[in-house]
Amino acid sequence: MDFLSFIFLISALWMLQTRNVTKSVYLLILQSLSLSILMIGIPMISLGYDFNLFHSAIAAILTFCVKVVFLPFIILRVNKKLRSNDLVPMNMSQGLSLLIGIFLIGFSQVLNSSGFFSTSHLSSGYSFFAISSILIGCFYMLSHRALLCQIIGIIVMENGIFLYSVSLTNGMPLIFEFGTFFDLLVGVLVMGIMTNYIHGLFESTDTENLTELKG
Amino acid sequence: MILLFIVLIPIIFSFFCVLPKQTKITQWIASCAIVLMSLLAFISCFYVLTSGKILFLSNIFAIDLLSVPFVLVIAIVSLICSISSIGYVNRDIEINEMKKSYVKPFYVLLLLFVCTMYLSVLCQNLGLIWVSIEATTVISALLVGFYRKRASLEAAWKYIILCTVGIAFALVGLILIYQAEQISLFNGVETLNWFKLISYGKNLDPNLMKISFIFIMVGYGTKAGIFPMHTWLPDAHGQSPAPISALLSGVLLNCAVYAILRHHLLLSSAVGSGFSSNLLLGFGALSMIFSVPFILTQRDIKRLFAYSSVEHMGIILIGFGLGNFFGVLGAILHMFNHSIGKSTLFLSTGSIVKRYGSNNIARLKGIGQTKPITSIIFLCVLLAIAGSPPFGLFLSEMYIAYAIFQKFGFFPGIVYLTLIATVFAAFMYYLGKMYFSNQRPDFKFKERIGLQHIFLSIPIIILIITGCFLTPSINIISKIVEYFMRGI
Repeated sequence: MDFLSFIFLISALWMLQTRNVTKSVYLLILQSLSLSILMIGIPMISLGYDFNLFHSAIAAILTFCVKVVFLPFIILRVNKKLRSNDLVPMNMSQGLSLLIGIFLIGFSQVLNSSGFFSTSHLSSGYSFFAISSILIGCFYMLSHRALLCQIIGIIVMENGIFLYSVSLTNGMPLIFEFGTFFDLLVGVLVMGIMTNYIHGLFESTDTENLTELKG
Repeated sequence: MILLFIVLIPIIFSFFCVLPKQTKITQWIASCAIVLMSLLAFISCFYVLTSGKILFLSNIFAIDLLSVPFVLVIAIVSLICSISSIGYVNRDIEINEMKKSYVKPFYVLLLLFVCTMYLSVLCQNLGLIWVSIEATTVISALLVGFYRKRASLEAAWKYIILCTVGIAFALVGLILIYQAEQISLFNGVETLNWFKLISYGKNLDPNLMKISFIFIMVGYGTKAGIFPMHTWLPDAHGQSPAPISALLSGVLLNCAVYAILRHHLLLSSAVGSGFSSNLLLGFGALSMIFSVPFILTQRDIKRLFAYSSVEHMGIILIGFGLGNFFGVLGAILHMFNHSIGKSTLFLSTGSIVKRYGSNNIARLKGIGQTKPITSIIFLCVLLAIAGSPPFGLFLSEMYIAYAIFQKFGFFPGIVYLTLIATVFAAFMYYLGKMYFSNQRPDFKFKERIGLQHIFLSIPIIILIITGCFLTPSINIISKIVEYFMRGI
């Protein structure tokens, strides 16, 4: 499980210095794949005999279907339709972006050990990876100036939140997980449609163009 | 069953909306669906108000006295918006702002949007409330960017991104509540059920609950347009079609406030009301204070009203945060009055703005001469929203002022009244510029009274009734206030 958590974190971190949408999506697939295995693995280890295979398996399958298959497929398809093979514009250099990412991981460790995000009752080492992913996802949205990168950033954040939920509670209620996955799926679909419209009007997916409305 | 129908009707009718070839039939099918939903909502509210009982449906849906004002607001505002939207959509088609082929998607999205808003106030499970509120974002984003212009798409993109990120923080808060539930109850059944959680409130870990409320406040606060997470609000309200702006400002913000209130009551049962009340008061005061400079310097009329919504959300949060009888009474009445007034204001503004072809206040000269009937409705609701008597908002603002004087004394009360007076003065200044100025020479337009004018004057009558005849002694109002106060 430690190895998978490590992959989960490194794939998010590596995204920060990638300027190619396709590469970022492959890294996202890797992160989501490790998350789907962790969604079974973490409860299995922490609960032992109380482990509810049905619940965890459903959550893991949902994660796999939505985050490893559907969402990356939608993003790649939109990216292909836009024919944007150019490098994604960034607000800072790739090196600085990576450096800030490493700083955010350190900050997550401080937050996690301070107990702000969890209590001693059910906290596990995995929440550190989750908090790091949430912060890196947020930062990825800020550092990369393409619309598709903002969608990827949101999914990275959501991955972090899902790992956080499984590390603290061994999985949220099923009805709630169905709802969140459905919302995420429809949300990304809508964002994909909007990216298409925006590209059609602005002839670019640079978020720098979206600064007309002020005050 | 009645609650299930409220949610099922829009889903079923949205399929029927796609079938007819004529756009008029689609419009009437959608309007009929919303009329039916509103009727069922009124019946269920009447049942809860008269019997005082909670109406349950299989532990998923419930309507109690707290949800009654929110359900009523959705019912009334959606009814006004759906009927008024017929005229707006037809005018948009006439001036080539909207293609005829867009009418069906518009009404399907409108029905689904109203459905998700009903869901968010009818679900009793905190997780499902989150799912419903996130669903409102996804659907309404498409409606915000419906005109597919540069500005509207920019507004829609900012809206969906900011609200999705914001509400993700509320999800972290929910995970912490679920963890607190697991630690203290270990029941594993009916998890995140609000009624169960509140009955076991004292057993919940106080630290976890406090941290969770911070996340909830940031998450749902983004959706409620509370400062400093309000940045999406002026863009989205300013760029969406008028009936959608009316729904966003009149109803959607309340749905997020509703979620915050449920969590406020839950935290109050776990650790006492001090922590969450202070947060509500703090965010409310910030929203009031920081919206004023934007109101004073605004040039765009729809953005002006959007910032006014930020201010009014601040007033509502302060009322609920005060927690005393007049504070809660004022907040509930203010929420109701603001929703009805603001939605009518957006609808009448939409009609005027379409005629002038600009949102710029400086260009909207002589509206009284150009659109005499619509501008009288506009004048009345603008006065109401500014907090002028005899409209309901004056009374609710004064109730909250009285509650502030009662709880915090002289100085905070005076600051609150000064802020309200400043906003009132600003609105009167803008009104003078638009209403009491000469008509542009190229405008020779006069309007005839129509059905939409009669429809838009109903909210004004409601606002006068709430301003003149609603007193705290009326049984149903005191029932709702006391129900809320029992939870604090």
